[in-house]
Amino acid sequence: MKKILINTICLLLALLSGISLFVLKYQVKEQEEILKTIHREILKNKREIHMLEAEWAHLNDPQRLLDLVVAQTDWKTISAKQIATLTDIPMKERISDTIEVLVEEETTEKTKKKAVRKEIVQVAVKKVKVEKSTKSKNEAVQSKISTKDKQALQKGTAALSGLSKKQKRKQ
Amino acid sequence: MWRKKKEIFYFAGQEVPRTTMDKYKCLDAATRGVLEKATGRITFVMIVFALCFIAIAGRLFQLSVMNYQSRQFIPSVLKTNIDFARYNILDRNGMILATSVPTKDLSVNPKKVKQKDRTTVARNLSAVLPDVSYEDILNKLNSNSSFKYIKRNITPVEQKDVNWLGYYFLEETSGEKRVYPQGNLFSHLLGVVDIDNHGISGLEKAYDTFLQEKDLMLSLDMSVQEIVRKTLMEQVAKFKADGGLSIVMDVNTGEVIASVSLPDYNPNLPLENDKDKLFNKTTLGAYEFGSVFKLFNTAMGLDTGVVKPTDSYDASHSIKIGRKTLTDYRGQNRPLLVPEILIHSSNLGSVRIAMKAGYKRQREFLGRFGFYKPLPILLPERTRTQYPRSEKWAEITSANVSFGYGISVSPLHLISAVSALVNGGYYRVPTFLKDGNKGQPEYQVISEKTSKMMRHMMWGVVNWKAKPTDVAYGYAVGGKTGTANLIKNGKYVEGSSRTTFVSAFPMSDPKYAVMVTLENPKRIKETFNFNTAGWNAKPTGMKIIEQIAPYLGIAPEEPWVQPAYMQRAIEASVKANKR
Repeated sequence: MKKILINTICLLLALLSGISLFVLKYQVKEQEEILKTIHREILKNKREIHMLEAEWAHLNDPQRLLDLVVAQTDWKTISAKQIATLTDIPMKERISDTIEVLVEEETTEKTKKKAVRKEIVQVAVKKVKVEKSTKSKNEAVQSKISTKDKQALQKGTAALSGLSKKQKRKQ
Repeated sequence: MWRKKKEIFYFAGQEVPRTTMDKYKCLDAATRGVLEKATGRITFVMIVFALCFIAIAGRLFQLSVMNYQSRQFIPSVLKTNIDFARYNILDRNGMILATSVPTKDLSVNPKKVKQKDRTTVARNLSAVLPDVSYEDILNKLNSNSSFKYIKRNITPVEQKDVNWLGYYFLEETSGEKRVYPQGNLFSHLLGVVDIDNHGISGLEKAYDTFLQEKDLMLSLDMSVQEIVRKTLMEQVAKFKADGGLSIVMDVNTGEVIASVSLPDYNPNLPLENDKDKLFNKTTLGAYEFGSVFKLFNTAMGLDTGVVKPTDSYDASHSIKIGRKTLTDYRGQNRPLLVPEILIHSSNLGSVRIAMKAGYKRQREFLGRFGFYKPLPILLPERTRTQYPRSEKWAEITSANVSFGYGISVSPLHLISAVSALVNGGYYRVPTFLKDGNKGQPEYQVISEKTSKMMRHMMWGVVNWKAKPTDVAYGYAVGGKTGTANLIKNGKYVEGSSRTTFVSAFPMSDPKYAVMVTLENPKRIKETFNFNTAGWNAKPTGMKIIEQIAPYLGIAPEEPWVQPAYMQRAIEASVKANKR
């Protein structure tokens, strides 16, 4: 019994290994075919990439690019005068600095206005003083003139005013 | 079976166990013998079968577990690299300058074509292949051979049209065509290949074997080459010159960044039979460069200690040597300081320096720059130089050489020598390959002190009366112009000249050297009817520098502070020329 069992197991194992080898062989063949297809695709793609690289080189012909730039843009060749370094650019002012400057400007303006007003007041005061002094001078002069001369002056002015009325009527 | 049977003691009445052999005890000896034999044979066969299965299992294990990465089992159809007969030529930034594209070659087996059909076939083929004549095709069909090329490198459209004809005796074989995407841009340097893709000129020939294995990366820059070529073409047309050339070189590595020779040709088209177009002036031409050689004359005087930069030489009286009288062209007629000899390109000053140094020093000094032998480059188009061969130079020879006559070198010789003057005094062999001089020896030809003095003087030549509005102002360009009469039938032709401007920038720390030569530029209104180098070659060179400097990463800089002797020389020149 034992012998029959062992023999059967061995026979089954032999059959199994034969079948598995058979199956494995055809699976491998299938995989090889797939691999060949993939490699052919890779070669085909590499050839296409090579052709595209050649075309890319042709399209990157500098003369062709220059013609396109001239036709499509208004770019010009840069000159030495247009190139500067970072140190050539003036430093940007800080915001706090700007505010300080503005405040300073305002205060100076205020003080300027004050000064102008002060000057105006001074001029006005001077004018008043001058007027007062001239008035007092006139009064002094008038007090020195005699009564007779005053009467003559008055007649003269009346005659003048009468003439001026006649002239007006004539007109 | 072969073990010694163990003796076992049994007590009286103990059951004796039955063995396999016991059943044979009742049989007779003969039968027992046969049965024993049979058992042995069966056992032997079982062992053999067991061994076979063990072998199969072991092989399975080996194939599936141990050897799965082994490449020896990968067939050739699985390789993934495309093979071309010729690899690419690239510029220093990896842009393709020359490449091979797969094409089809159309061939026929004439023996398979019936006699009565040959004229029809030839007519139909010539209709779809306009480059090939009917007679040519008919001759091939009438030949006795079994293989004839009808046309090589047919286009895809032609291939489609030929296939539509449906002739079974036509065959298409894979071929390759060499293509140059930039056309004329690098024609002289790259060269061309023949129908079988073997290089026959230029770098294609020089690196023929190399290109069969890998890509070749050059030191050339496509953008710089385009700028140089375009500017040179415009200026050649403006000055109605017969041709021109220009070279840009990295002074610290000896790499050629750009090299243009005009006129040129398109290598994608069949070569024309025009020697001028096919001639690469930059390496194959040997020319007298005139006053440019005053740079080497002055450097010789300074380096050998014969001359100091503060020395002064008389340029007011002509020099008579034998029957020849030497004078200056539009001379200053006054004593000139050494920098002024270069600024005003004084022949008299140069001759006096050469006479003071002596012909031996002069000959030895020029030899340091490789002027007496061809350049050690692989390009097949390279010239031998022409120089006075005798050991002892006559006085007149020494005088002529001091201002650039009597010695002919190629433009590449010249720019390599000027690079050595400005880069601290180190001569490097010019190379067309990126990093071509890496690890190569450099030769110190002049001291660093002399090189610095030469840089100041060359700066003075260009900038002594420069204004901020000038072209390329700010790039601290230094250089020297030279005008040499052309030679025809062994004689100098008056009025016809070759003008040259050789320069380097920025002179405070030179990076690049630029050379421009114009062949026979004419006198035009704009140049007030002058055709010397200062009026044509120099402006061309400055225009090129202004355009390539930003691209090469060179920024404009503050005016370079000059030493006292230069300031004195410039002041004297400005003062003298104000009168």
